Amino acid sequence: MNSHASIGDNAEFVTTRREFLARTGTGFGMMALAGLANGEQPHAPKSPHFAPKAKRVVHLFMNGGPSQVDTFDPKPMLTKLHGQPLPVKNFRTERRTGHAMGSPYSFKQYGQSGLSVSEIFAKTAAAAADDLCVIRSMKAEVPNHEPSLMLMNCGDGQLPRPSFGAWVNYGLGTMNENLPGFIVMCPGGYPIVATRNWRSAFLPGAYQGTHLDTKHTDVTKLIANIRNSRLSTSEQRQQLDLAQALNARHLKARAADPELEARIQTFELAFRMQSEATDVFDIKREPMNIREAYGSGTHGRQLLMARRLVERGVRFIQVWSGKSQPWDNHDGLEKNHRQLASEWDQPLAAFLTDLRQRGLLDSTLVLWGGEFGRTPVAEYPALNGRDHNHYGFTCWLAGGGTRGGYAHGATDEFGFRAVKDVVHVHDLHATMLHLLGLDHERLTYRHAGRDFRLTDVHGNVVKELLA
Amino acid sequence: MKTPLLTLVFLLAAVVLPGEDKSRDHWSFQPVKKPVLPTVKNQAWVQNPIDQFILARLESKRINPSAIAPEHTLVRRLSLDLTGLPPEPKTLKAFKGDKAPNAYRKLVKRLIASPHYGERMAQNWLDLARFADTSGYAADRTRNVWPYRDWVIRAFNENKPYNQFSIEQLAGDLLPNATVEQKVASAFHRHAMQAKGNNPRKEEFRVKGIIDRLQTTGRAWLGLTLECAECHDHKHDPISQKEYYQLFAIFNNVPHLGAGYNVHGPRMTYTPYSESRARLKKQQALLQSKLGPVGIQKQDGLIEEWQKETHVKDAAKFSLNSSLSITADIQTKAKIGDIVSKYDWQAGQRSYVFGVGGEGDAKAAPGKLFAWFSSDAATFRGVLAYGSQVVNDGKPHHVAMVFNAGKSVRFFVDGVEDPSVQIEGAVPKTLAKSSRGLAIGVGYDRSAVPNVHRFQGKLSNVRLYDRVLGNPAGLNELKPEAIEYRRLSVELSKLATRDLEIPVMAEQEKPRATHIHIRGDFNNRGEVVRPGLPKIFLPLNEIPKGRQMNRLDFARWLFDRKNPLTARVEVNRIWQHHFGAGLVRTAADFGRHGETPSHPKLLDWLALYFMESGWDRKAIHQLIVESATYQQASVHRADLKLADPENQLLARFPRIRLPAEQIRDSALVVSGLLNKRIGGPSVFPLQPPGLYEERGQNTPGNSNFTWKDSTGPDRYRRSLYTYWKRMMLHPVLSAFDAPTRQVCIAKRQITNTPQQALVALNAPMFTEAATALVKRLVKEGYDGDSKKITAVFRICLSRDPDVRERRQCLAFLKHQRDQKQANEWSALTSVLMNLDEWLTRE
Repeated sequence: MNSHASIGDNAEFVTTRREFLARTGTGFGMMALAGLANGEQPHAPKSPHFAPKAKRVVHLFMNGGPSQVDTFDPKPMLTKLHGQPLPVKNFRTERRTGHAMGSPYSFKQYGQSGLSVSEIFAKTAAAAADDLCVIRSMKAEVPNHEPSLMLMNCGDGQLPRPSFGAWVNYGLGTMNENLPGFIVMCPGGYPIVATRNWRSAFLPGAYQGTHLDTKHTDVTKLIANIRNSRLSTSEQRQQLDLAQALNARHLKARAADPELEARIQTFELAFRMQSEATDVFDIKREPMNIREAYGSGTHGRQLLMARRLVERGVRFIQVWSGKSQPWDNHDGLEKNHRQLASEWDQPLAAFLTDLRQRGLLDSTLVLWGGEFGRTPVAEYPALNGRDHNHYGFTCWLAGGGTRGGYAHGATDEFGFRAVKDVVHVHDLHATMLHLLGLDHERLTYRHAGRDFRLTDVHGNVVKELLA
Repeated sequence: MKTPLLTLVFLLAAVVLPGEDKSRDHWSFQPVKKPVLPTVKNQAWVQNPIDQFILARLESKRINPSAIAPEHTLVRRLSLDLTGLPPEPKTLKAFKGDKAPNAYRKLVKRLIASPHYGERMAQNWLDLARFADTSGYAADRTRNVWPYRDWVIRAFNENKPYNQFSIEQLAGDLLPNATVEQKVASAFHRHAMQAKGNNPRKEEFRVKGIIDRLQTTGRAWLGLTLECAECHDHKHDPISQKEYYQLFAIFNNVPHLGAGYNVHGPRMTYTPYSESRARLKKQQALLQSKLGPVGIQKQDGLIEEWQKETHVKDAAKFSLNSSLSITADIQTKAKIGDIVSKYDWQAGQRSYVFGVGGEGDAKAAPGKLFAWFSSDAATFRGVLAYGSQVVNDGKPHHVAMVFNAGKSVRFFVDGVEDPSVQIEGAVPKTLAKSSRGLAIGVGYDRSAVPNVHRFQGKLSNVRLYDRVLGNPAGLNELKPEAIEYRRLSVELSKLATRDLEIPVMAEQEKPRATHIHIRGDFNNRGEVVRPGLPKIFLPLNEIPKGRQMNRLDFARWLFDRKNPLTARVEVNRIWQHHFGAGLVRTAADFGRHGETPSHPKLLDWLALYFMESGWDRKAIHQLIVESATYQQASVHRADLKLADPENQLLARFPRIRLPAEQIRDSALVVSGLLNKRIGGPSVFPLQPPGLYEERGQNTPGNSNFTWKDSTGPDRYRRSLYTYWKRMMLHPVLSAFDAPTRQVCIAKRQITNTPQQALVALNAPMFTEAATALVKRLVKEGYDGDSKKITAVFRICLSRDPDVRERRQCLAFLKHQRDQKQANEWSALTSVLMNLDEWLTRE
């Protein structure tokens, strides 16, 4: 398939049923794709820079910003100071903040490691504390959602850069040609800044995330039009081959048009998805005990789909809390955080356990966290909500070669600012790429005459996080 | 986070200090200056001044422009850009056959004059106007806003000057002697999302609505992110928080959610505009003058006649218990009013009522005839009749009602029978005898509100007959005018649409006091501010003393020739329409955080041309599409990959994937399914069943709305008429990036996803179109695979297939047949409708 010949160039459109089966059987129905001007197969598997620990990523995005001091970073001092001003001046965040607000939840130690976790994530902690690699010293750049989402997802708060998932697919290629390499699940619609969170930007369009609205419970709505009502698969394969041959011919006449190339790849992927997508997203195919373990809620459904995607080799899976910014509890935090966590806790426990039992956790890198955390002080003047906080917050990793049962770094005694072993978002990206066998300084793409990286000119691999 | 753009404040805080005077020197705040046309070497290439600006930049970088695009590409490009529909093969043939030197211009002019021009341009404007059929938020209820959409389409087609177009939308209600259409236009600022009535945070949502008005106004006309100053001074543009609230005050006087928190806000009864209706009405009026006065002659069976409103005590005399007729001459503008009633609700004395608009009856249409008859005095038992003709247009009408006991209730307007009276219930054989007197135009005898439903207007010659009248107006029905008049009435009744209550703007007499909301918190009220403009803009001189600046003053100020933004922002969007990106790529942000123009002098030249043309948008479109810049080929060039990767210099034309609406509309055009009707209530094209149910969008309390696929021709209307539900947009439209229109959108995202491919390959709407296209080929007489292949390429791609493409298609058909596939041709037409060339405007 290294030749640039397309079907169109082969003088005749020849596809017998046998040929069709032969080609799909070997995983190459992409003859038309070979006609692409740059000859690249964007989805072809590629070798990492060095032996990887993790093969794939599951990013659980708690959009809106969960509070670290109410989840994974206990601060007894806050409880002592509850309702009083901090002895130091509050850092400036988006809104005006007031007095210290102790966590309304209690913390307990779990597992052999004795990791301290809030009651609202008790099930997760009980099931997997010794798998969690909690980073309590995360740091971002500004206390606002959009740039922080962009930083966490694309490595830059402002400029239109490719997303993490796009970079990983660019670096490693796919392990399953029948599914997108980067799948984004967000129930109810889009988070803030929408598709920019999973864009491919200047990377080839094939690497962008494919968004699914997981509010849909019915597979035929989750991926609408996944079946053609009139044509059999082989008939449709012919149809697609003709379309692709004509597209490739058109592309050839138009020099290297990246958008047209992307369209050809997308159509190919869409066709291939028809063979596997209804199956992979149909959680009814799971035994009852598994479905019960994950629970019947939206997140249980999402995580069960995520596990099925993990099994089928999808490279990057991003699972969001919901459209807009659910964790953004400027007020009513006690009630809302408890509610949000309760929707995640059991599915998370089931997911991590399930991965471990199936032997998938070692090769699957799980990231849990928001775009930033929340202030330890309450939003002025009430005492029931917290503002955005980029000075210090918590994320955790699990599996994929990370050091389980470990809490890395620390915020100050109030939980306001990361002070010890600070991990910037760029460092997190560098470390995760490292676990995937990629050197963040060598994973580059040339665009407009310059080499770009996910980590720009920043980022250090945090060795302490590695197992 | 209150608003997306607030973010930038923090990013830029370090770069631009608040209040720094530098921001005033920003390019977009400088007056529009007439630039000198640059000189270029390659004069032969230049078609109009646009090309001089573009070419001068290219020549300075030693880049050559691209060759002119092939004819078929140009015709497609023009047709899709100007009408949103792909060209029919005959259009291309005519163009190729036209050897006149001005053939291109003739085509441009014809397309700009097409009624579909307005539809395509409206599509962009409706994104800015955040126009949708529902209120948004969880409840997401339907609201009657489509007349506004039709107003926008008409305004584009009539080429309403941009200043007038804008002023009517921002302040149509405040114009002196505002017309109905101008008030409809003011619905622009009623499109903000609106929470349901039982939401406890009413004031908060009222304030959100005004913030949305400012955000939309800022983006649409000024290209400014005004909303950044909601919580504090704008950190990079010279707009203080106080100035923000001065603007806020201008939009804060709508009686929306005022006393009593009426969530619906100001409304207006609207009889949907219909050209056919207007035409028929005019013809009828002419005939009426020939027919002469109707209803002069008294007929047999007359009991009594009254010349004015009165209350007749003699109950017995008028207690008719069988057939009766009533005639009257009326002239009114009221929606509801009784002509004759023999009814006392409190005493349980029912007999009959005849009048206009019912009694607040849910089914009665305001301004149309109405009657009921009961055979039981204590509880209603009988018939309700609803007329279909509007009689409250303020003009004199002769109206009549004929009650034929046990058989029928008929209405007559100006001597002609109403052909579609709606009857509810059984027509009683006898009427209850009410012991009450007869009310002639004075409303109910006794009720909670005295004289409720009193007739307002002129009432005379009210006649009561004790029998069925065959020809109550005494019209000579043999006269040809009468026959024609009757025919027109029948036509009119077929057109009859129900009047709508539509949201419009209105101004409170006493302005609300506006406070600065400290840190954007509506509960935290600071200093009181008066309506006014930010200092960066020139002061408004023409406001008469003794009153505050209002929306109309503001709207007019936008079009002050000294305003540096309005013209630039609009010509930039017109440029964006054709080139995919504006000269300023951030179409909604001309502030310091926005991008700077790629060709600042061209932008100013266009802005000035626009103003001098009298804000003529068709002129700008024409100028752009006639430029050599626009007519270039869109083929990628290796030399540009490094020199101009973003194609900002425009050495080639950009290829752009079609917007969602144009993808679906194209399928309708090529398949011959398209119903070209313009305007009217929104329609419900096929979508997967159960979508609303699954998402809880059909539940009572929430949107309370069930999607029913349109049947008949409405299934194939242009996509712009699709019922636009903010919380669950039609999946074909959302797959191709149509926005939900919850907020003002100046530029759509364009994505490329596998779901889009699945829609084009498999969605029932597209397979239906593929099949219909095959039928079209047969109908148009194409015979044999080869001829059909040529035809289908011409229809779908506006060009002939080359030898190899033809061979590939023939081979495809053969293979499908070998597999006993009976629909091999629709499989092929479907392929054509999936090609990138088909999905893209090249």
